[in-house]
Amino acid sequence: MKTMIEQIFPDMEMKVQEAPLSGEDKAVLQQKLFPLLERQFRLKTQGDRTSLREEEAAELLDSIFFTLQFETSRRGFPLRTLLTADLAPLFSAAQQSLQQYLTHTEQLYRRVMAEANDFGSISLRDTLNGIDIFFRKYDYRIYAHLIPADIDYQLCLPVPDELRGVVFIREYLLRLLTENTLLTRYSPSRVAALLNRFSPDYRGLLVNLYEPVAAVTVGHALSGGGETLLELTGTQSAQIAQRLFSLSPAGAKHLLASSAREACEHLALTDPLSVRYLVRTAVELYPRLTAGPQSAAGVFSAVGKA
Amino acid sequence: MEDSLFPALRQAQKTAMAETLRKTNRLSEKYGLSLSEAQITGLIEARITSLVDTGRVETGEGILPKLIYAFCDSPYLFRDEYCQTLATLQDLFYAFRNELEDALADDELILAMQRLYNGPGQGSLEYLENATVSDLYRAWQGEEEGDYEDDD
Repeated sequence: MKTMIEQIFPDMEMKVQEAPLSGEDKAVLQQKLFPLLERQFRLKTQGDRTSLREEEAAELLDSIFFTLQFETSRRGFPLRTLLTADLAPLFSAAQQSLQQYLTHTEQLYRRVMAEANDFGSISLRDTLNGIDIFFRKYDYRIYAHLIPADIDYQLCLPVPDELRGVVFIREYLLRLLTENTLLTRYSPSRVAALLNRFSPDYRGLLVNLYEPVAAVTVGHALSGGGETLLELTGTQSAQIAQRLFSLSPAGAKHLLASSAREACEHLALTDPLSVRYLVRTAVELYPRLTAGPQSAAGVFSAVGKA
Repeated sequence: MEDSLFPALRQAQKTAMAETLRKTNRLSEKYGLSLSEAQITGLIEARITSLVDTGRVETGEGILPKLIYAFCDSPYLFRDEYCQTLATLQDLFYAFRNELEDALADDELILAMQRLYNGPGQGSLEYLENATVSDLYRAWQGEEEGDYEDDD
């Protein structure tokens, strides 16, 4: 079932994939953006100044374009709608939507703060605290495209660079929550033990917590079960690699994906986001497994691998 | 998109700016100063050059009308030099804007320039050109300190 935020704001990430505007289209759009730029200009300068540095004006323009793009994406319209639409009311509506989106994203943040276990990871803790600052500094009216926060903690599947402003933050939080959901399926002590095997200094390093857990989860599914143990031996790891290498790359990736789905069933991970996330992570294990003869033991953080 | 937007914006403002500058003649004529159509066109082109040179973007009527209203009653401004002085003041305004990092509002900066030009500069544009950021700040604050008499 979709969350409230997903119902109101369907997958923004999907909508950034659109053919770019032609040079002629851009010229038309430019003319239409002048009044909005002037309006934002006045808002920024409070009427005190009639000119700005080009860099500042470019930021205003970026924000305007981001805001309009947000609204067309939210409504499911193609970007070229901007060429014919009355931009002033569309921009006002977009700002209202952004404000609402911001509120929902802050609620999501509170949920992440309540649910996420950082397992002592300093970068995750600092990043989450930094996102709190984002909600105090973010200005959806003038700088909607900016992300005033330090995001150090690396997700297993990073947020696409195209996403900006609060859209980036929301996607980051959703992914973080998705990663945490898998972690909550296990005993915290087993997760901590696995993380220590993966990297004894994981607390102080920029180590993603989900990735080793996801790898072992998929590894267990490939070995025929036993996910809750969260522990594979070196022999098991080698056998998994051997099984995958006996297939074509496409066949191996297919097996990894189906094993990820199977693992989700075993762990009662039913939300589509969690399933998609684990499937993508599983497929991305393949190039790492093929990197060298001892790769499997590393990828699956095998017990006694040394 | 801004690479082509800002030049287009500057071009699009030309017509409105010309009309605004024509209107300023109504006031400046009281002081024996006015701009011809050719001078208006020249000042608008000079404005574009000045904005490009200083890397700035301007909206609305621009700064020229404000400069005209502030300086047209200066005892040091003469008919023959009026247009050229305005062009220089315009250049200086945008250059000072950058030097001050936009710390002062337009009206505050113009007041500072006006005080320096009519006060210690005695109508010397060269004096104004050599003004430092602290000179501008002091001139702007001069009203409170009573250093500058001619404020209007």
